[in-house]
Amino acid sequence: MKLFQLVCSAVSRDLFKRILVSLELIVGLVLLYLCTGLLEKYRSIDQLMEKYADMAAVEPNDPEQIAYAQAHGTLFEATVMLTGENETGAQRFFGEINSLAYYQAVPMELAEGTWFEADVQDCQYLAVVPYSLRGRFPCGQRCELYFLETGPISTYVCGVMPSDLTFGNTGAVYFDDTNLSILLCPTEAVRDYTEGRLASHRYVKLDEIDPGALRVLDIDAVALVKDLIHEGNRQSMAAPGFLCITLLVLFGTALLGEVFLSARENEKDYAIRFLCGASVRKAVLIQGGVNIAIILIPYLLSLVAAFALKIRLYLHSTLWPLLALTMGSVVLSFVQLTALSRKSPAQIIGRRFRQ
Amino acid sequence: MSLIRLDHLEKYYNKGKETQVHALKGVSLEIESGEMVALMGVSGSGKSTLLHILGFLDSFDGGRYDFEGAGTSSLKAEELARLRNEKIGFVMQNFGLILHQNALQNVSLPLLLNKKTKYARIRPRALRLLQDLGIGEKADVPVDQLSGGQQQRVAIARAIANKPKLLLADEPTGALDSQTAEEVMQIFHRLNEEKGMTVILATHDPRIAAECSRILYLEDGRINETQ
Ligand SMILES: Nc1ncnc2c1ncn2[C@@H]1O[C@H](COP(=O)(O)OP(=O)(O)O)[C@@H](O)[C@H]1O
Ligand SMILES: [Mg+2]
Repeated sequence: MKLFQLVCSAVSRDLFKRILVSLELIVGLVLLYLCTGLLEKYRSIDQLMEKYADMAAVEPNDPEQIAYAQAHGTLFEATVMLTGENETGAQRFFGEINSLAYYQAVPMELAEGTWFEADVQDCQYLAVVPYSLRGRFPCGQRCELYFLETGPISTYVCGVMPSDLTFGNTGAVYFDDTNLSILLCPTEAVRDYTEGRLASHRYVKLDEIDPGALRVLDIDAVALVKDLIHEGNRQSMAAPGFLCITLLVLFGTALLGEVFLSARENEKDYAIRFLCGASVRKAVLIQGGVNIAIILIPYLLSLVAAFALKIRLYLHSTLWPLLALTMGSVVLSFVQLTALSRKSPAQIIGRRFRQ
Repeated sequence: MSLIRLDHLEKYYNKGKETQVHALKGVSLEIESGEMVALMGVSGSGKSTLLHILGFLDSFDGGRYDFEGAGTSSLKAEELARLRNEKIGFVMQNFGLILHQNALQNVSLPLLLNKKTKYARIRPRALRLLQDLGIGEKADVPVDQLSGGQQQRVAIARAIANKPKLLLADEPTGALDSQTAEEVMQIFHRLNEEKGMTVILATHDPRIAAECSRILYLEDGRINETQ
């Protein structure tokens, strides 16, 4: 308890200075985080380019493409109640709920509308309806599709297919020869993607995409690749990459400087605690507690910041540099403590206090 | 029974090395409880070395040191730490405060290190000490913003926080102007007379030494009672 109080009082001292140091560290770490995140993005874009490059080149009817459709799309057979003005009846559809990534990856022309209509706040799904149903479900309207199996689904009809396509003449969707088909895709993701698409600066605005939706839909990869291919953003990554490395070096130097500068001060405090009645063991323990607290507070804060950024930016596995830095600081502080415990406090007093 | 009894105390620095210094050459002396002793000598005569040993900051290489009638050479690090904490107060020339802590935190340090003091009593006690020394209103001020005289008062408050038997002061007025030095000396006198603390202070200043009841001269590591 008292040890805790000792450490607390040592850490809380001159709080302003401590906070400044902490902020400095946090800023550094966040920068570092952003930088590594950027680097990672750069790296992952290369990987994604590789992964998805051949996909766009897949010919219609290619069995690979069909396999992809079957693997990624959620196919279902549903009975939809058609409640038009003139007639009411039930009809069987093959529906497919798919990620946007899929529709992006596998190009398909629409007769009317676009895939990415916005303003669909209260709709659960976007629907692309077969050509034959365009009268009953006009493009650009909300309508409720009543599935016997699942109940009503609120949709926004964002497009009409060129014809009642069958399996044989499109690679886009799985169709059954005999049944009319309908495509449904969750509106959430589409809306988010729309905003991203409308953005002037693709790369930044992409950050605003809801990562939750993206994760569910496994969407970012294709979106990124498309963006980069279409807008030639790839070259512009080199500058931030260079910036990252520079900042990393600067930050690393600053951190080391911080640790070594405080060493002198720590040595004095250590001797004073010894003088006031702490044994060497206890004085080292207190200093260790102080060091750990000073290291951990900013690191924990920056970890939170990093996590927030991670979620915002939807970056993968970029926490390791943070962890490495933390571990490095802990090791460094440990080395410092061992060095401290080997010194005679009386000598420190003699030297530092000119006795 | 004397508070301190030294018998042919020896101290070497860097023993066995080329840079070996024989800092104390068989120092023998006795100091009774309640004395106020001045330790004089030129720079390098071994005053600080002697005070460090008396205050259990440093070990010695030969001879005997009895504190309150008991030998100290066999004491373990933890026991020495407890002696430093409870029986010894140490005041230094340039105060030896933790500069980025405030006065209250500095004075609380020996109280926090004392197992017998309840946590709830630390703050009020530290405040009382600062008030007694006339700097109660500076309790929350970081010590590096205090004047030299005020810092030395904080250091004295910290030294006497656990009501020690022995107050060791290594050139306590060396960094102060003569008026502040006199005020600080008054505090030592008060502690000696009113609280019965034994005071040993190292100084070059003959006027300071003259205020003490006894003067010891250290000369090249040897004690000389009269000069
Ligand atoms: N840590 C040390 N290492 C080596 N020599 C020391 C050390 N401390 C003091 N000395 C030497 O011991 C002698 C006594 O020093 P000290 O006790 O500091 O004298 P004073 O306080 O009277 O000036 C001096 O010769 C000094 O150089
Ligand atoms: Mg000295």
